[in-house]
Amino acid sequence: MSARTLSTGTLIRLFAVLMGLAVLAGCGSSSSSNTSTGTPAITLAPTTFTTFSSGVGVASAAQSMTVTDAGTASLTFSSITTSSGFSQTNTCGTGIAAGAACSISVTFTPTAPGTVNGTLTITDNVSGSPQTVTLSGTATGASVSPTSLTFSGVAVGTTSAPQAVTLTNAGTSAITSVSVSTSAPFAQTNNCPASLAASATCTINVTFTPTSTTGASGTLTITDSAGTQTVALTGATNTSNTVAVNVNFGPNGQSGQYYNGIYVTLNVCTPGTSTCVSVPNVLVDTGSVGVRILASALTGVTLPAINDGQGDDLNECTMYGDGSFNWGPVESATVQIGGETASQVPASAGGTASTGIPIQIISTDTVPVAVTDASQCVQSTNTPDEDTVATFGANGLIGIGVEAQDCVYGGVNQCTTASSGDFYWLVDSAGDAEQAGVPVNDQVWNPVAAFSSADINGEVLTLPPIPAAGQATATGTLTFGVNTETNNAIPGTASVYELDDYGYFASSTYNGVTSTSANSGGTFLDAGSDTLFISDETTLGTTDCISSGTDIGLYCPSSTLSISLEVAGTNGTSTTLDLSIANALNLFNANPSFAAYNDLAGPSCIPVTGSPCSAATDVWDLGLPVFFGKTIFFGIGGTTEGGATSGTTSTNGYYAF
Amino acid sequence: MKRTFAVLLMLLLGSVPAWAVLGENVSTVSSDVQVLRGQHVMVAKTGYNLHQITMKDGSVVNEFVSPAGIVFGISWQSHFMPNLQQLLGAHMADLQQGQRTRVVPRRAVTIQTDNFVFSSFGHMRSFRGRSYVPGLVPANLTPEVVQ
Repeated sequence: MSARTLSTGTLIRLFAVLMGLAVLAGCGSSSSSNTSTGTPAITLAPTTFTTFSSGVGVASAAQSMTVTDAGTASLTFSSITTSSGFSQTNTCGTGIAAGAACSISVTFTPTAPGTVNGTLTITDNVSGSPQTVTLSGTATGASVSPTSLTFSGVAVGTTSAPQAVTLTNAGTSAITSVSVSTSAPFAQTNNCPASLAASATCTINVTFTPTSTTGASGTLTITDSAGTQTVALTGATNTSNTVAVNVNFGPNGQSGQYYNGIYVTLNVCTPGTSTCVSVPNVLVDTGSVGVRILASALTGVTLPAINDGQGDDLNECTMYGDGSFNWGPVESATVQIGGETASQVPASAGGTASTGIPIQIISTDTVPVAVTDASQCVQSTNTPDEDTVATFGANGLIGIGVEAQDCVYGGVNQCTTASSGDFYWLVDSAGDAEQAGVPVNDQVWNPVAAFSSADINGEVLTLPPIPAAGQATATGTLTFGVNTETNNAIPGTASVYELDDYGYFASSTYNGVTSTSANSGGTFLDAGSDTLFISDETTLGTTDCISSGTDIGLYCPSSTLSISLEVAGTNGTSTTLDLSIANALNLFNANPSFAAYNDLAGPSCIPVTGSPCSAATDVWDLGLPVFFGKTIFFGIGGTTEGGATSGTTSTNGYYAF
Repeated sequence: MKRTFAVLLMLLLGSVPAWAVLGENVSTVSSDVQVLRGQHVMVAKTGYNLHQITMKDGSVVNEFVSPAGIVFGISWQSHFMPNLQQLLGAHMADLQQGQRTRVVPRRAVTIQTDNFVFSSFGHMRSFRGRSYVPGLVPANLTPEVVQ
């Protein structure tokens, strides 16, 4: 600002300075007038204070006393003090001239109920110094402490830990008609009686339950016969709709050979409580739906079984594309991940508050005979019943694919009758099992679809680019919601790819051969798979360079290959995915400690001489390598395409990138 | 908290079903039809017969039968993993042996031995796979027909 544009505020400040100089001159503290040889004399007016009164912890109204030098020489002060419980301010400085005056202002702040006696002491150069003035204060009426509360970092849909406010009757008689209130998103409980006796206290517990990521402010109001006491309330949410994901060897370490595992930490809580267990090393899977946690990772929480009311608990045989499976009961839990919480099936879907969402507990129990007879959940010493950290390579799995429940596809419940899928079972106390049809609310839910926030329509997975040689580990971000917040908007450079009835791209074309569901092909994006499963034995050869025994592992071309796969959505959008296929054995030998690779591929076909694989008829499961260096959006079926506020509903879910 | 729901349908298997069918006689196809509760259609193809079992939810299991009446291959396109024990019969042991030797957690699998070839892919909602016995594939055919 230039000197020519003095603001009004500047003028006021200049005026104040001039007034201050005038006051100093009037009070005569200057030594130039102190030339007589007389004596000072002090007078006080009034000479006493009335009894102070105030609530505990609250400063009383001030009382002032004027000090005049009635003598013929300057009055000088060496100190002006009060005893405990009282405080003073004054205008007297180090002294005043003969005939001049200054003032002392005293307040009382009780720290406990009852009466406090004290003294104001003026030490000066008058004969008989110090002069003392008796002070008396009484703590009285109702008061609250503290007078403000701040809640921070509370996840949307959850309730904070309570914070206590104490109401004190510091008076000598009861205060009556005590009433306490606040308003949402704050709530209170209290043990205050309608009539609070003299010297008694009561406690008010205040909680904050945010319903949106916007913070909130409010007031706790106590009305009673002594007046109104207020406590200012401020609440801040955990606004994070993101959580870190880590690509590493997982809980089994390097020796487990679980490369390209992508893990997250989440909390599993007893429904309706704040009793939670943190579960690290949970595999992030965009190719399945539902939270499935090893029983061994769930210590300290109590999860209600889901049953038929007749002693039969709901269990699930969860099958994966490689023939492995998880067996165990379906139970209710609150799931927290990042700043998001799934504490109930949405009310819009018929859920009720604080009952949790269905998750699967991966059990080490023996699979019932009826189940092994009828399904792929066949336990033996050989089959991969993945029910331990050693065999599962994780403490659990969070399936965040493009459906809201694990047996509802294209908006249709595929498990309304027991005849579908050998998927859900009721098991009685004797271990006998029978197949079960299961309504939507009791199926294992995609937790995203049950979040209490607005971020329920999908998620975004971002992984950093990594070198072709691989990297020891990699850290990315899982962001919940699509177009619900500023950090999950689909950029203009990306396109939406609607998926077909089977959760695949509408078509994928490689080397001029187009694969569609109609000819049993299909391509999908699957963070839970470690590899690009590609059928191209002509280019990549039939060499199985990794396997032990008969399990065909990974491609090992003599030099790294680049291939292009054109994928298209049912909505007509298309793009080309450029995939890189390195020699897996060379990669592993060069850097045995590396867990993250963007160029591992294996066959999605049976490469036998005389039976060339066909890109047209094989499923291409594009695993974690395709995710590096990309941000990929996953939209849940039944939500609006692209997270728009209105427009086309996505029947089968969509990808966007 | 107790939630209740109806058991809408219950399947009781009166006895342990006869395992079919890969590598067995065509007569075992009927036990698959029974266990899978499907509609059965046979289509005569050049050099083999295709027995197609379509389940209530639209899932399909194909069984490929040689002129000698032996099931030499199977394939499936289904919402759920099919009952492989039922479909593979004695070759289930080959699958288990192959699965045991996996060195990494995958979500797809291919297994190949002299007398057993198997691949399985897909995700919840759509599983696809096939299996055949190389030595049983008729001489005038290639395993390519097992789709």
